[in-house]
Amino acid sequence: MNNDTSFALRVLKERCTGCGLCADTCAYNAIKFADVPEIDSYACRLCGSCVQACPAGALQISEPETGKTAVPQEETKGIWVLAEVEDGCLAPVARELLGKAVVLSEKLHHDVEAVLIGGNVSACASELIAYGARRVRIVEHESLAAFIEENYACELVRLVRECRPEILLVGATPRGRGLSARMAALLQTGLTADCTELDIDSDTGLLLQIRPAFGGNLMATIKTPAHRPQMASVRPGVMKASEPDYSRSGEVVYADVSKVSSDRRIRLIRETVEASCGDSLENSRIVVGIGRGVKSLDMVNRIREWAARFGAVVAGSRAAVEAGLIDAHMQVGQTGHAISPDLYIAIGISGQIQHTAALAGAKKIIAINPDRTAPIFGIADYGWAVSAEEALSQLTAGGL
Amino acid sequence: MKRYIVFLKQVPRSTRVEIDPVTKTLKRSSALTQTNPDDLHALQAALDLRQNTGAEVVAVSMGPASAEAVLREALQYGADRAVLLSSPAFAGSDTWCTSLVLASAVRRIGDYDILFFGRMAIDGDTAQVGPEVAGQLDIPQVTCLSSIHEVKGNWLVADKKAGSLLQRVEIETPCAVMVSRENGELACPTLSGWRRAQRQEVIRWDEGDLQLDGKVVGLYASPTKVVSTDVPQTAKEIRWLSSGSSVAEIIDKCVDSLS
Ligand SMILES: Cc1cc2nc3c(=O)[nH]c(=O)nc-3n(C[C@H](O)[C@H](O)[C@H](O)COP(=O)(O)OP(=O)(O)OC[C@H]3O[C@@H](n4cnc5c(N)ncnc54)[C@H](O)[C@@H]3O)c2cc1C
Ligand code: SF4
Ligand code: SF4
Repeated sequence: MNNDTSFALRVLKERCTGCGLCADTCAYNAIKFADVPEIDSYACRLCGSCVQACPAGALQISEPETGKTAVPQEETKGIWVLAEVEDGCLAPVARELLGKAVVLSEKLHHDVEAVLIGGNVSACASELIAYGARRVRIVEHESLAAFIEENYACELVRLVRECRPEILLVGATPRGRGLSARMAALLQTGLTADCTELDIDSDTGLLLQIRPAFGGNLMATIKTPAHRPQMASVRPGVMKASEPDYSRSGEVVYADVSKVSSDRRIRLIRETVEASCGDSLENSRIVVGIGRGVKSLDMVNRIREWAARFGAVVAGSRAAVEAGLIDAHMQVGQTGHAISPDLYIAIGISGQIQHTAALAGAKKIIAINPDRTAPIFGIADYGWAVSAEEALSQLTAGGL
Repeated sequence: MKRYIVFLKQVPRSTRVEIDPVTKTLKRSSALTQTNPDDLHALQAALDLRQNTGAEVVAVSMGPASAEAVLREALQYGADRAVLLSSPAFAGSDTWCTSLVLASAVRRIGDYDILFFGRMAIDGDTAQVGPEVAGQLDIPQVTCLSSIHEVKGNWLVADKKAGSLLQRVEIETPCAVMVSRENGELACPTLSGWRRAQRQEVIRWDEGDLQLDGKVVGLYASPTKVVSTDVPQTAKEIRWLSSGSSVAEIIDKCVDSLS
């Protein structure tokens, strides 16, 4: 046990009522309980769950005395969006990120800029301008034709060091994730993963990066006070693109590629592009999601038949995947796909945040679950409190 | 002599706090821990490759004293050595600081060929630590490994996957690979492995052993700061339905507006 007073998590003994909730909440077993809680500083990961759970406000994670207000020394400018290109086309997440970047720029008064990187990508520049970029920076070179993370990271880091953007947003796509993490390491800055909301703090002008947090029941707000750029990744389908305006004008800047070289430690032997099944899910206008409340494969098949009548795709929660009801590549949630359909119909899904975080972009949600207190109803527009069996028999009875 | 280093993280068995329906109290079960699932697959990949190359497999975890359990498990599976990186100075590290600690451990262990990471830890959920360590050490990375084909001298031939993009690459070692549950089955620890593990010692290093200033890691040094945590807003107004026909109506309306 370590009751080190310099440890960041402290117990204010005079406030503590001895209820013990904190110890029960700690998933790392870092709170031992006598009359007042004692924090085991070797076990505590400073996740903040206990602070949130304490009804008396007796737990505090203190801010460092120094570094808190430290501001980066060098001047920075621009809100950047790393625009991913797939097979010559702009990935949808690039448009979504631009939509958000434009909103942020209204508060922060920095220009919105987009970055294109690849072998032959400049054709996408006009689309980026239409979606809100004031400036498009193009890093184009034949040795960047293949997606090799090390080469991309090297060139992008060079550009970031030269231009010093204030904010850099990336899509949390299979390509974007590894690339952005490597870049963050090289740039020695922070990277917040899978944000579901971004905003500007009106006091400090810092980027507020909001993501579903540990425990699943909380949303954490994260800042990057002293390192630049402030990097955040956002899953596809979470933000909304704005309407394109092809009459907008913008500047196109070609980055100096005279120093581009490919990393000799990586040789690409061959490359294929697989038709991805997940695409159909991310682009579907109506999605039916099933959860553990759907009890059998037979029911799943009946749901599929029903969904096919109105052209919906059937997906599922992690629980449904684990129960073998649905394929892993059709999972909606924090570890699956994020979707933004016009209509989402959740059948037998309880609505853990890991699942609902991926529904932020859905326009309308119908939730069907016999338990009226299920969290899914907290985000639904329409609720129907019946079991999946009952719902299915009524829904398939009528000839919709 | 080749050397593989495998990174394993201790995570809560459940990342959800549950309410006991009978006693209406919070369930203690949330305090149970486990080895992060992807990390066991990373270990398996290293052990499989060792069969051909005879490399030494070193298991490394950063975490509290209890994380020794994760390393014991790794030894039972067949790891040759285990190192626990433990200090209050490490608490609250974000992915950048975590990567700095892990990269420092790699430097201290030295002479390595391949670093094996899990793709993602189920509690922090960022999938950033592996690529960040690779970045800090400036070594090539295989972000989403599909399979390892062979090792040819200092080159690793592997298939990697980035969404719909499948690539076969030759990568020069030292390098880092990220392994996930999709990579296949785990073998079980053997009785002899279990016996051997009983006799093995877990080495323990803190910031001093890694020649790190305690001030460059942990909560205060982390570039990202969690400034608040809130219960998600559920302000949405809900309309309760009472029959299948009202659901059908909403679907109809949506289908009409789409066509
Ligand atoms: C509410 C909350 C939100 C957070 N959000 C962010 C964020 O957005 N950005 C950020 O930078 N940090 C964030 N953190 C901090 C982050 O959880 C920690 O840095 C954590 O130590 C590593 O991240 P991870 O669990 O996501 O690991 P991942 O990057 O998902 O782990 C990948 C692999 O790295 C290896 N690995 C990871 N940690 C260890 C370890 N301790 N020992 C050995 N191997 C390991 C394992 O092989 C693992 O499978 C957050 C923390 C909290 C409490
Ligand atoms: S901050 Fe997290 S790990 Fe530390 S004592 Fe509180 S709940 Fe446990
Ligand atoms: S939750 Fe708060 S009041 Fe209750 S025991 Fe813990 S510190 Fe004390």
